[in-house]
Amino acid sequence: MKLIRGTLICLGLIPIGIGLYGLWNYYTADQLVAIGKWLVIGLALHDGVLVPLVLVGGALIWQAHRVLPPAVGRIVAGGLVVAGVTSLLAAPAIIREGESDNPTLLTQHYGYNLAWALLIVAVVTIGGAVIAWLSSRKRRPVPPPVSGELSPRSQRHVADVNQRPLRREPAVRPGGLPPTEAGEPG
Amino acid sequence: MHNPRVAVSIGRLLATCLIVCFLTGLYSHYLQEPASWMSFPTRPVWLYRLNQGAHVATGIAAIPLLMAKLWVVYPRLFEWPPLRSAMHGLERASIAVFVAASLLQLFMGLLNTLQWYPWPFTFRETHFFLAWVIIGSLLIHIAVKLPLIREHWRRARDGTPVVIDTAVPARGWSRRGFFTAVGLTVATVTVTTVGQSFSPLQKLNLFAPRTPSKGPQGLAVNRTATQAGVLSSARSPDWRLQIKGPRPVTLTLSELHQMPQFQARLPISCVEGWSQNADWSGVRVRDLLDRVGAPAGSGLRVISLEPSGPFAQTEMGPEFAADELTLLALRLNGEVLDIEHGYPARIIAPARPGVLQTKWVRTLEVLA
Repeated sequence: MKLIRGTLICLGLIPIGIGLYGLWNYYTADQLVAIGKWLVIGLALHDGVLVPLVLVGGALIWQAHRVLPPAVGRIVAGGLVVAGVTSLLAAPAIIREGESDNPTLLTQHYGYNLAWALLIVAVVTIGGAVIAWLSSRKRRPVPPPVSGELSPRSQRHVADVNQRPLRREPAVRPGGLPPTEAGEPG
Repeated sequence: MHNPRVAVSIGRLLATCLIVCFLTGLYSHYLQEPASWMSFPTRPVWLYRLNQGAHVATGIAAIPLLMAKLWVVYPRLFEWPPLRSAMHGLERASIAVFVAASLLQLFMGLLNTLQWYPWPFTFRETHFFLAWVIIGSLLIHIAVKLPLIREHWRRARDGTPVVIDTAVPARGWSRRGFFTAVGLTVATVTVTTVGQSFSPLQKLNLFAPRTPSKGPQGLAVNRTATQAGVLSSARSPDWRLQIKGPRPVTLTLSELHQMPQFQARLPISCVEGWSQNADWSGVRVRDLLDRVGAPAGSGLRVISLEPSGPFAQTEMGPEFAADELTLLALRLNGEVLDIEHGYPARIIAPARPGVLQTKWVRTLEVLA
C-alpha cells in the first residue's frame, strides 16, 4: 500500500511539473497573475456562493417536510438540481446569442430552448411529486421486523417507515433508532 | 450524504470522465502539434470525430459530476483544526489546486465551444497545461485517499451495518435518490448537447452552440471568409495553385478540374466538438505530389490565402498526404465549394481536426 501510494504521488508530480513549467515558460508575469486570479475567483465563487446557495435551498426544501411528505421534497429537490445545472450550462449560449459575426455559430434561440427544457423538467417533477404524495397517503406504518430475514426491499420500506417523523413526535424517543444524517441540510 | 462511500462512488465517475477528457485532449493536441516521430492512424475516417465528440461530451458531463463531488465533500472544507500537520497542509493545498484548476478548465472548455474568450490569456495553451496539472493532482489525490477508496469501493460487506447504504433518512436524499438526481442531470446536459457531434440526437440539441447542418451547402463554418480576410483574394480570377517540390508547377482552377476527380465522404470535425459528414470531390493530394515529383513518404505544408491566423499555414504528415481519401477539394455536396467552405480549393483529409482542413489554399509545399 505504502509503495503504491508513494509511486502514485511521484507519478502525479511529473504531470504537475509539466503543466506548471509550461505555463511559467509560455506566459508573462502579468498573464500568470491573471490565470491565478481566474483560478482563485472560480474557486471562491463555487465554494463561497454556489454551494451555500444550494445548501440553503436544500434546507428550505427539507423544512417543508412539516407540510409535505419527504418523498415529495426529494423529488422537488431533484427537479431543482436538474433545472439549475441545465440553466447554468445554457447561460453562456444565452448571453452570447447574436454576438458572433459567424452566422453558423449560436444558431438557435437558446433562451427559448431553455424555457422548453425547464417546462419539461417542471412537468415531470410535479407529476412525480403528485404521485409520491398520493402514494404516501395510502401507506400505513408497518411494525418493526422481528428478525433480519426480510427482503432488502422490505427492509428498506421498514427503515423508511420507522424513520419517518411522526406527527407530534416527542423530542427524544426512548429506544428509538440511532440518529441518522437527518439533521443535515441537504 | 456527505460521507466517504458517496464521495468514492461519485469520484470514480468523475475520474473516468476526467481521464477520457485528458486522453482525447492529448490526442487532439498532438494531431495539431505533432512531435517529429509521431504518426497517426487515418482510419476509421470518423476517428477524430469520435475523439473530439467524446472530449466535449465527457467535459460537459464532468460539470455536474464535479459539482456533485464537491457538494458531497463540502463539509471537509471546514474541518477542525484546519491544519493538523505539514502533510495535512500539503494535502489540502493540493486539493485546492485540483479543484480550482478543474473548475477553470471545465468553464474554459465550455466557453471555447462558443468561441468566447473573456480572459486575458490564450485558450489553447492554458487548457493544455492546466490539463497536466489536473491529471497530476488527480493521481496525488487518489494516492492520498487510497485507503479510504479501498475501504469504500464496494458497499459495506456482509455482517457490517449498512445504515448508510439503504436507510432512507427522514429528510434529505437517500444515496439512491442522490445518484438518481445526479444521473438525471448528467443525462439532461448530455442529451441536450451531444447532438452537435452524434447525429442521431441532432434534434435534441438544445444548448450546443452549433447546428452542424446549418450553414452554406448544409455545413456549419468554423471561420468565415470575412473573419479570415479572404473575400476578394479567394474570388480573384488570378488565383493559381502553386505546388513547390522537385519539379514545381502552377495550376489554374480549370487545370485542377481537368485532372482526375475523386469523391470522398468525410466529416468536418471541429476541435470545439461539432461535426458533420459531407460529400467532397476534387483532386487527390497524392496525385498532386506525384505531379511535382515528390519522393514517396513526403509530408506537406499547406498555405492559405488567409493573411494571418494560427492556422493560415498547416503541416500534414506523410500518412495523411499519401492517403487515397485526402483531397484538395473543389466541390462540396455536389456544388462548387462555397467561399465560406474554402473556395477555390481546400484540404479535406480523414481523421483530422477541422482546423487542419485548410481552406482557401494558395500553396502546397513538399516537405522532405
